[in-house]
Amino acid sequence: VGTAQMGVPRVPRGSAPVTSLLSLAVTSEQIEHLHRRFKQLSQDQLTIRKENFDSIPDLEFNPIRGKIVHAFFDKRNLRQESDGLADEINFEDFLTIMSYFRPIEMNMDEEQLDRFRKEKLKFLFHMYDSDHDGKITLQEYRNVVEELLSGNPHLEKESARSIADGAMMEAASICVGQMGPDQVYEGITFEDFLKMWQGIDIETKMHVRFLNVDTIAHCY
Amino acid sequence: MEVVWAVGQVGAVWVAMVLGLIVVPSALGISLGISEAYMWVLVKTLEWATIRLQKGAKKQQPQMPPTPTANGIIERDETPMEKEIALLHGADFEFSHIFYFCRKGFEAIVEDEVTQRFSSEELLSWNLLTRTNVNFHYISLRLTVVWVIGVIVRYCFLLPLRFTLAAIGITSMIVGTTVVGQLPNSSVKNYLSEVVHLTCSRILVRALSGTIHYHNKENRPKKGGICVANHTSPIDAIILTNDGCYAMVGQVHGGLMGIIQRATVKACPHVWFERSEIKDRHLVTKRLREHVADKSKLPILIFPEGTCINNTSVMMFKKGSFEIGGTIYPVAIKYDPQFGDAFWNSSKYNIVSYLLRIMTSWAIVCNVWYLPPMVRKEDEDAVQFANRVRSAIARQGGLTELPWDGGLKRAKVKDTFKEEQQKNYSKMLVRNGSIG
Repeated sequence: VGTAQMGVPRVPRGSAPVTSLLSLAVTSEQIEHLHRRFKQLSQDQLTIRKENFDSIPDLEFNPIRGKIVHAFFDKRNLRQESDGLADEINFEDFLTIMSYFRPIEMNMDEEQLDRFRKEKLKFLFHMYDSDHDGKITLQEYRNVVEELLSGNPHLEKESARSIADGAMMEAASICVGQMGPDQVYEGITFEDFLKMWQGIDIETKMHVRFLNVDTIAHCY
Repeated sequence: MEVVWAVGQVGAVWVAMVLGLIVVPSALGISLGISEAYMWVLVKTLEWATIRLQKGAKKQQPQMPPTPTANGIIERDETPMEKEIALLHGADFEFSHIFYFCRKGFEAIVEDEVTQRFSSEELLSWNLLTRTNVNFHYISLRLTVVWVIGVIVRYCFLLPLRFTLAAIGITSMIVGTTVVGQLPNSSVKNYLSEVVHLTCSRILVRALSGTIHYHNKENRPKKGGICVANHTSPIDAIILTNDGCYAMVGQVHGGLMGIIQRATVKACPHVWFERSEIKDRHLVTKRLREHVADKSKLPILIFPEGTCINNTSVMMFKKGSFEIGGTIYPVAIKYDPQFGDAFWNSSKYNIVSYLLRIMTSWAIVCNVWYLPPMVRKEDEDAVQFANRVRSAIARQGGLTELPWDGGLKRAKVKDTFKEEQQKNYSKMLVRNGSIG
């Protein structure tokens, strides 16, 4: 990667969408914006740590803030071979995570769309599967529900549990069909997860779309 | 010997020119048209520069419709939470709910509305100042030449001129108010104090090459009222005093500022608080109330945001100013960032480097709108009244309104704020019968 400062790939200004080694079809303007944002979050360091996300007021509102921040450091999302959590990420990793949220392009064919969708769902799957064992168990799902409802002091743990149980039952019925009385549903695997999402179009919901910024506005 | 004499001559001519062309007209309140001519030349140059930049960029990419960047770089879906979650998959609690929060989280990480307001506004086109061009790309020789001329003009001609003017302005303010302060209290004293304040303000505005357009002058704050405005920089006060006299409110500082404060308070009843007094809210409110109750005293000037915001939005107004009572005269101030960025990013620049940046910009151009006076209604509390005034100011100035506290520049979100959102979500689930 040819770099100028802080590992930003040097691309010609205003060129057609860049498909760099990250297979990230984002324009160079957007990369620059993200880079500036990265510098802001990292306070001009080369890497970001979990603590740096504390400086975003908007994020404080979010009940699943913990999971979102966690997702940035999850090595499975960073496409690294090893497992577990990274301590810090650099700008390339940051872009890798952001690429899960890129919007659909007009010129994608069937196969690309399918891969696109799978990637986004995999990202979501990793959010639920906190122990990295490839299955979403009942306990993991309960954790997520509890986090989502964590703000309200009036809801007790029991309610969270019953929601989780209900949802898991529904998942089981979609994935496994009728279960016998002795069968134990171990957990939702990624294939089951994909099955659950069939027919629901997440590609248009799970993206962050950049506004078209005029090429002249390369100002501070 | 001869050299010294020659330098003395040049110095004398220089001072005479400054006095004659700038100071005297300021005292009399007339304009010789020099700044108008300067602005005209400046506008023409910047227009030309923009066209050249567009031509340069056109070769590389087809023209895209320009989008105002003041409100962010990503497209945000403004549908309320309930609607969006309902759309996702019925309102039952499902895996899909995590979508909504996930996406909101990512949007916040890419760009959050609050931190954005504490950095300078982005420009739509380069204004030939180095500081606004982070990636300086060579477009054409002519543009570079104009830029170099601009640098020379700004640093070698404008900066010394402005510095001289500022020095004259501040000195005359101190000297003038001290002299007037010696007089016994009378209408003559008030009149003279107003003259001194206005003249010095005008000199200082010229020191910044300020071009200010005042709108709706009939709504100008009257005596015994409270003037409330959005805050972008320390020079807001000078912008407003250029057109009227106000009683300032603030903390006593040391150094040059302290000298100015001590001098001016003799001539005109400004309200300066000691550092210890500021902490006592009741004391502050009491003193301000007394001042406002006296109808012969000048209107007080307050900036309720409490800190400098980058002039694209108006943040939460602190309710203290609205508990004093009396008539509120809202004022909206909007700077044109094309000619010079007036925003003071206090975490990035100290006051001296800020003033230096201001004095080496092209000019300070702004619009000031005087809004009709507002009074607190019977059934309103201070917070609602503050929000009403804020909306009026934001609407007039074309700024967005944010419910956030300007204090977030330095502190974290209050827990009470956080719980609100989470409560909303849980309430929604309960309502839709997924629970219990």
